[in-house]
Amino acid sequence: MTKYDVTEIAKVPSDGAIIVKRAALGIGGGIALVFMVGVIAGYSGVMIEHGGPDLTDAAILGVMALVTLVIAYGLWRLWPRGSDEPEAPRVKSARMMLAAVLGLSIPLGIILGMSDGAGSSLFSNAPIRPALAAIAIALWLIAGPLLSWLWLKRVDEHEAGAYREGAVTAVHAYMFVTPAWWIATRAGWLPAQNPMLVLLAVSIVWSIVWFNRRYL
Amino acid sequence: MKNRLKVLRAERDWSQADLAVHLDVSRQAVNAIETGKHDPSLPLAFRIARLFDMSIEEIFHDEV
Repeated sequence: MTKYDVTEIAKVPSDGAIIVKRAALGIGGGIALVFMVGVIAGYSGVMIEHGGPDLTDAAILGVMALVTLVIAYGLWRLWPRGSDEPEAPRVKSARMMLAAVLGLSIPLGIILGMSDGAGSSLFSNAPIRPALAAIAIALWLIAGPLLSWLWLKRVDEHEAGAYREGAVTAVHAYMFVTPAWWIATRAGWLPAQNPMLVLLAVSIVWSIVWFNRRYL
Repeated sequence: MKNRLKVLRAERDWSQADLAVHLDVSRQAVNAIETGKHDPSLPLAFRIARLFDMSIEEIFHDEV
């Protein structure tokens, strides 16, 4: 008798279904938590303006605090933790490389987004300081490709296949959408293209295909 | 392409993660091969065959 029943293995939900469910719960829970904190802050502010809490206010605040704590506890339980299952060295190494890529991208996005005041954003075309531009370009053109190449060398063939399929689909999306948008702009139907928005759209297509191939 | 990977793995009391470590791939890769969503490359098919001490044809067969 084996400890793994092959008929039961097939009934286990896919990784993709689990990830999507957790993400939906996490986003919903996060929004609910922010909402509850806002409600408590607003209610407390009004209460103070009216000369402090009475017994009813205290009870209402207590219930709201309890609901907030329950949501926060649910999110904490939902947070992914380390698994005991064995893992190939290649998988650990690829994950570390991916973390390094994210570690590079997130600060870069924040720096660019906050570079020139409140009116600027990651997708802004506003001018930025040359020194900042030089740092961002150097990071993106040198560290970016290097980390991507190292990551691709470490992933297994299944992941590499998912990555390649996503890339081909994304290139096709770019090839068909971009000229159509360009023509529509010339006809006066659409505003001029923002290259960063195009990049975002292509990246989303790439990610969806990769996720589908890898996890669903 | 169909295969006997799930049965061979279960006969040895291996989880997908155990087999993934033996093959130096991710657990998702093992799952994709078992469910027929990913056909392994020849080098990986040979690694699988060597691991189970069988020929590739004894593990994988086409659906014709």
